[in-house]
Amino acid sequence: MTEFSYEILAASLIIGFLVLLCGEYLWLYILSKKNEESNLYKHEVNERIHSLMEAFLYAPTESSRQVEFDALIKYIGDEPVKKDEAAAQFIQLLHRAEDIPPEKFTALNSLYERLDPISFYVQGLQNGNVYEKSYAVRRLADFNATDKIEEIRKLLSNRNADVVYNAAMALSELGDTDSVVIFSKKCETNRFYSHRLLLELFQAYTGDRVALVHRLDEECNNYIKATVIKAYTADCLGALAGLYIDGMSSQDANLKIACVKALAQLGNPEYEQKMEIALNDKNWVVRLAAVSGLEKIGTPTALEALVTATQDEEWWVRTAAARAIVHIDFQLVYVEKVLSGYDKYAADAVKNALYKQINMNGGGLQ
Amino acid sequence: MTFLNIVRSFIRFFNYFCMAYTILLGIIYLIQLFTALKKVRKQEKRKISEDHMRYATSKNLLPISLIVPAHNEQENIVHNVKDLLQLDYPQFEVIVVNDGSTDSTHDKMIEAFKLYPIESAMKIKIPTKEIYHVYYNIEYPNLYYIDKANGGKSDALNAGINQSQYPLYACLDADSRIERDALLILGEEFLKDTTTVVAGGFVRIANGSVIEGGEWKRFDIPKRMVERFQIVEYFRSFLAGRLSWGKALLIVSGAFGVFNKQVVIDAGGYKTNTIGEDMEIVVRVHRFMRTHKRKYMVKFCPEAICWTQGPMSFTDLQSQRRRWQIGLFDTLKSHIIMTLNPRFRSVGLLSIPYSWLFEFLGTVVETLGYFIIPFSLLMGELNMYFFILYFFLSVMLGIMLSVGGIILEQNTRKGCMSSSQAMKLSLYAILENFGYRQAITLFRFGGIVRYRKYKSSWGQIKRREFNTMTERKKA
Repeated sequence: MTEFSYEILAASLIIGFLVLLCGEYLWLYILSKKNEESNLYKHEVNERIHSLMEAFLYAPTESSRQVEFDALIKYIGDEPVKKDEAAAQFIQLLHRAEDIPPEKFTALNSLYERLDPISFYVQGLQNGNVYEKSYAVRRLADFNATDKIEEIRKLLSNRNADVVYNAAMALSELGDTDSVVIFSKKCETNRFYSHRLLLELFQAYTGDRVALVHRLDEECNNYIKATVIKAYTADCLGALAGLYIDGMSSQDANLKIACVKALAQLGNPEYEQKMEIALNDKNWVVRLAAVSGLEKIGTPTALEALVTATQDEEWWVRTAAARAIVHIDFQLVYVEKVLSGYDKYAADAVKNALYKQINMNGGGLQ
Repeated sequence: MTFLNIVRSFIRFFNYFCMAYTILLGIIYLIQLFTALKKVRKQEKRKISEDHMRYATSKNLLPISLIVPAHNEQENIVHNVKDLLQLDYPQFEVIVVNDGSTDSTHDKMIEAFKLYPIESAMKIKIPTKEIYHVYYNIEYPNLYYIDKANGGKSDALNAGINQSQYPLYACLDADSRIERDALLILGEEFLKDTTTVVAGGFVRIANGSVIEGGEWKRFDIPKRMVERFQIVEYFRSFLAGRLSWGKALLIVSGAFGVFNKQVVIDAGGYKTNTIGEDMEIVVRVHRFMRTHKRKYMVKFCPEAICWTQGPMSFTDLQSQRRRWQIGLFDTLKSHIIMTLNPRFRSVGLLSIPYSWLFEFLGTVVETLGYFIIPFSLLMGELNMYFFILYFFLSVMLGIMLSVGGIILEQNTRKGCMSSSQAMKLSLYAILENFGYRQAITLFRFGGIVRYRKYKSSWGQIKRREFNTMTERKKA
């Protein structure tokens, strides 16, 4: 290459870089300006719809309510951002329904009919991209769109995992048992969705939970069974006690742990013996669950077994047993027994549990 | 061959090497920027359907222990702990570890929270320096305060892990504030993907911003030039530098990261005689998981924001960057076996060699360049026009990357800065190339030179309290 062509190359490099840089600056300017405007717009829409809705709801007379209603509808128009914001605020209004006087419900009803959020989100379901579909499907569940279940079900076969999960969540919220079972069966071996996401799915379910557990117990593997039992532990479903007792003799550690915890949560002294048996399990997580179960049941007859558990080889079991003793033993007889015993680790665990229950700044036992 | 000829040949070789090195680095940086941009755009679209606040009351989010190691943090510690106790997260505990502070950190904590010593019954999973006492107050049931002998930040973190009772823990700097929903965002990563073992948040410079009760209120461009430069630098390094690495990410900032506790314990906990514990622990986790052939993910979430105070003077900046460089070198040296080792896949074949070549060696090459290039100009070994072109293009590239960082920020957090502030900051993307960048390189080079001396000390930077709206209004 000649010197001249080097100069040409250098000049083109410089010009090229300068053009790129100018383009980048322009991009930054347009983007930041757009963000600023869109933030301002969203803020304004939010404030305006909020004030119009409040004015509509708390209008003193029917005629003034009609005026506010017209103003609100006119403001919303056909703009999707405004429609979505209005729908979101409407849901928030419903969440604080107990603060709204009953006579206002007719007004809310007419607003709902006029807003027609379900048709709006169904449009999103049909025309939007995968993210808009996922959003629309959850919103439909928020509005309890039970008549759209068939349309939502179609999304269970979508190729995008987010859409499928959101559709499953929506169907669960709408209480569609069949879809929940179908989705759970898909997750039996495919662990794409974590067990925690499955817990979320089961906890969102609004149908008959006992029936769902029985169905999953019949149709699914131990993984799904353990997950659904875990999901409903806090619900204290006494009708499932038999199923929990059967599960406690399973060879599957996860199922066993879930059943011990669920049975313990029922807090029924009848199951104390079952917990004491579980205290001797070779798996320390099962033993820990049994200790927590005995604490929940809370009968003093379990204290002897709990004292033995303070000598467990596993730190977590010892600590939980100490906490349970301090919680149950009002007479402090067993507390003293452990404190004056030869096992230093058990005594330390009890001391720690005591410190966490006594207010050392004054105020005594909490 | 005369000595002069040898020098000339070396200079010529160095000049060619520098040119090739800069071109390669430029290409890599541009790839990183575009990859990050693509990811940010995708995440932005995902935000339409993702509503992490849905999980705010979920019982399925794993409980987290927030470990705050503190050494002479009297200015911020009480405010920080109060903010942490207000976080949006279903179940968490805060463990403050006082690592032998010599100021009033201890007294301030005891007084502010009326703490009293308790029998800890701590499970010692990782050995640490002597624990004097564990303090507690039943009125703050999720706050623990450990007073221990000085052993460094890593030792303090290990003590916090021993005290922690939850399966996840977050390491937080005592001088940083995390946004109220930040923990939720990182916790969600562990909920959705159970193979996640580490998740890091985006650390932003708080200088100039008003942060109250864990919420960002407003941003003003800080007064000092050194603070402005750091803002631009953080956008570039966090958003372009970290987003692009995906699961091969080697560092999660010590100021804010969430870890699977058992994995860290299995990997041996934090290495105590290092100051680059944030990078070392992530590399150690990579090494442990790959060696044991376990499936895992390391994630970076730019939406989870932690605000930290950047150094306000060049002296503090020098100390900070020196420590970072020592930490980098120490970590790479400790895990040298992973370098170019196919057993460690993308980590061993890409991210570690990259760190050796460009993060570590880059400092040496750039520093040498500051002396050799002018010398080669004097000796006539370098054409002046060529030098000007080379300098111009490398500056241009630097500006493009920094402006790219600001563009990424505008895609990640909309509305944090006004358009005029974004444009004003972008000017510092130009100015940083004339002095600041060179100073940073020299500070880092100082870290390599004085590696032995500063290898295991707590770095102290002069802090002030975070700005509040009332203070700002008064001002």
